Amino acid sequence: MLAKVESRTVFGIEAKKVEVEVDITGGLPHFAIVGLADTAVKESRDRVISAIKNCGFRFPPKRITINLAPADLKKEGGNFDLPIAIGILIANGDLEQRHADGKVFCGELALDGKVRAIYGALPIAVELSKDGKEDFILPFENAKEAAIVRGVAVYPVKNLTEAVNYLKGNHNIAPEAVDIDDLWSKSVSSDLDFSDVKGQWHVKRGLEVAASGGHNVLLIGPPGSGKTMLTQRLPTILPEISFEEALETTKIHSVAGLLNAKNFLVASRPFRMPHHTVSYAGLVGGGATLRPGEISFAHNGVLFLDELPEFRRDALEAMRQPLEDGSINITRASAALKYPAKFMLVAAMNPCPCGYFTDPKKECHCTPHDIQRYLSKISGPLLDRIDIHLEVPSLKYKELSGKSCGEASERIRERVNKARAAQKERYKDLGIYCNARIGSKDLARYCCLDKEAEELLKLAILELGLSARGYDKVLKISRTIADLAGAEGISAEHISEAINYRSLDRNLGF
Amino acid sequence: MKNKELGDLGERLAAKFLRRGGYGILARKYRCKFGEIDIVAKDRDTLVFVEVRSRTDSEYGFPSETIDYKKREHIKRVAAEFLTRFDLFDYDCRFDCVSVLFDNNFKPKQIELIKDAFWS
Repeated sequence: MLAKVESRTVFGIEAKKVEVEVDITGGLPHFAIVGLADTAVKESRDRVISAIKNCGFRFPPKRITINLAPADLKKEGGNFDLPIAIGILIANGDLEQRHADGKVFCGELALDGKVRAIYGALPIAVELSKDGKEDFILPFENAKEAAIVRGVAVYPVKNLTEAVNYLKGNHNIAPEAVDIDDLWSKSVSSDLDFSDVKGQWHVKRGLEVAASGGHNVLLIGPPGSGKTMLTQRLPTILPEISFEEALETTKIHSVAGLLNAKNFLVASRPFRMPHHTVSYAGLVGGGATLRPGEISFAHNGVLFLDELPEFRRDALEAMRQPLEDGSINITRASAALKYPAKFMLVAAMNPCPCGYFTDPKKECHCTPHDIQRYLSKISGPLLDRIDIHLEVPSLKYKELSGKSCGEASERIRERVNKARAAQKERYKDLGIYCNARIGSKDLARYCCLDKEAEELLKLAILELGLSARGYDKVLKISRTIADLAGAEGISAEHISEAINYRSLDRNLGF
Repeated sequence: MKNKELGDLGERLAAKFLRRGGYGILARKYRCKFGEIDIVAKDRDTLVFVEVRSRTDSEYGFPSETIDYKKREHIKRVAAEFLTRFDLFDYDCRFDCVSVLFDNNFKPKQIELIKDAFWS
């Protein structure tokens, strides 16, 4: 007998329809899966046989052919165990075809018939709601993740027996429901706070500006000056993530299997901190299965690269195009796909190999050649894409022993949220969400300088040797500073602060 | 006793065992150019190809463990030939294995039937 069951597989962060056809006839017992299946799918044969037998159903020796259509799409993972099992049960007469019609099945089976979690439940649910499909039967552990999407009824099943009983109508499963507002209200409270860091006022201010405008930041300073400590507290002042942004980021985390039943929605901006030994495929995505990389996991959040010059050159250079476009196209012989990667890059580094070049107390023992070689590990084009340069000096005793700790993250965050809201409102027609992403042709329209500011900028270009690329960056940063101050136009004080954040353009300290 | 005699004895015992179990024996030592199947039987509506394995001791593994990939391929090919010759393609089929264990005096110690032993 012939049975047809619908399923889905993920390709990048999109879901593709896969029809599972099961044909059972007499003849020498044989089990074949056709349709460009990878090893995990081929192996589903043994899982399915054991699961069906252990759930108390018959599994007669017959000629079983399973076709996964379309034939040219590569099928990966354990997604198809459940639809294959349901198809076999229909073809064997334990279920009827009408039981499975109009429903979509995904799930991996354990040998005892338990349904195991799959990757990519969220993108599949999103696709189903677009297609107008209503019933999605999936593993219990993935239910909450998929239930975030409206317009799809998500039916979680724990094991094969439960699924069969539900399809027959003997057992009722309530569609999973998730209260999104509830998730938002429980936003993560972090142990970290900006008030933990003593001194470094201008660095804190710089990070506030960066967080508001989504600017990329480079922190330069001697070891122990607090670069890492400061950056680790950056998530506490990042603007709130919107539902649409959270959904996009969660999709990427979903296909990579970073979610679980407790942590099924990325409800705060992601903060990714890969170690500097990361390979280029690990950073930007790729590998045999074209997995998303760290830059995609940091989508709508922060990617922190500590010890920037220690990273592999090819890994760093691979980030150039995604930094510009906000997405990455991964093209291989097997497939080509696109992952979103709109992230804020925060990098930290020492000014020289020994680390003490800018330190007023400790002496640096690097030769100019050493320093030159160390700095040249970071290419000009990459540096060009970093808006804000912050020098982090080592703390003086007075600051260390001082009682004053500065503002709490909560207060800084309020200002950041306000500034970001103003930007969103301003750029709502452009499809961008922050100052860092203004195109050069829109720059003149949105960054209006008053007379005094214009004079100051002119002086800066002439006297400080500000480059042409620096000019654009200064305008964008000053726009953010003006937004933080709640000002409509950009005035001289905003420009002068912005120029301060371009220390590498001025070759100060180097 | 020679190995061949032991095998023949095992097959006779196996056929008796199967008949008692409700199988109808259709052929013994079915031969074609691809090889030989020890017993072809009928279990209700299912055609069963049976391989019989006989051993005097289980020190080097149970008799049924000695059916390797090559042997299975042989049996499959003969089974396919059998189906073609008698035009039985629509019948449900199955491969079974009977393992017969003898003691040192060639008395059968244990007879075991493994249903649905392998798939083609």
